[in-house]
Amino acid sequence: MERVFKALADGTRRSILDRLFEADGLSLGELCSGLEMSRQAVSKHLGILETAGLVIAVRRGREKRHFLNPVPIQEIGNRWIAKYARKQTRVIAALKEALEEGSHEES
Amino acid sequence: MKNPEHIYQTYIRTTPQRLWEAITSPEFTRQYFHRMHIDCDWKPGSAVKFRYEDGRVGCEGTLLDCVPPKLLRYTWRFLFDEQLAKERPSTVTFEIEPAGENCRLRVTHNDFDADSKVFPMISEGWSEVISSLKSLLETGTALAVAGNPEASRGAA
Repeated sequence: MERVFKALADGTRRSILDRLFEADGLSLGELCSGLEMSRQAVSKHLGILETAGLVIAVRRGREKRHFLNPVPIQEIGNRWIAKYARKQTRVIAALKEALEEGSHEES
Repeated sequence: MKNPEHIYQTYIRTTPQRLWEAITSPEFTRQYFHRMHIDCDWKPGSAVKFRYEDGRVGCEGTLLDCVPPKLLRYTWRFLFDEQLAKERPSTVTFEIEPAGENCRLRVTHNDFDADSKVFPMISEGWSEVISSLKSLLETGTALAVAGNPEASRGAA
């Protein structure tokens, strides 16, 4: 779980996960086209996400495609959110969402 | 456009045999798969049905591959909703690999049409089901959420 928290502690890596959530199964090239950084840097971030189990890379034909694996995040939810604060946080999260509607800035 | 596909993976502290048993025996699936028990004779080509206690079938498909305790693959049709049940079946693959004292479970759900309505609905469902399966094998108790068809209605 340590590796998952570390992988999630970086804004670029979170935006890679968001992109895969929108369009799963992207190749490295496709991922790079939406990010203003070198292929090498994106590849390094992907490596950290893969080690954490948040991204699964598989060969499909000639290309390597990257899939978002939501299970570790589900497990964080089970371990940290369900235990302490699911009901309360749901209300607050809904309020925050309603107030910030239309704005998708990262917090 | 690429056809949509989801891959889920987790490591479970168990043996391949126990994990295989958990994905193929009705007593197990009932505990983590929306209270449905799996019903199949495990011969490729046979029907796979997920039944509720009252006998209603929630999802069904055809067994494609059955290689215990490594590979299980079946087609999958969602029957919870009349409209969604009309979509052609997709494919679910379970791959089990030993990894030290753990097992790696990888679930691939693919072979959807590009405009599938079922695809966007099943994502959260699988995460819950898989983490509930992990909890069941590691602690003996499934998670309440995936065992409750009302809480996860509409999800796989």
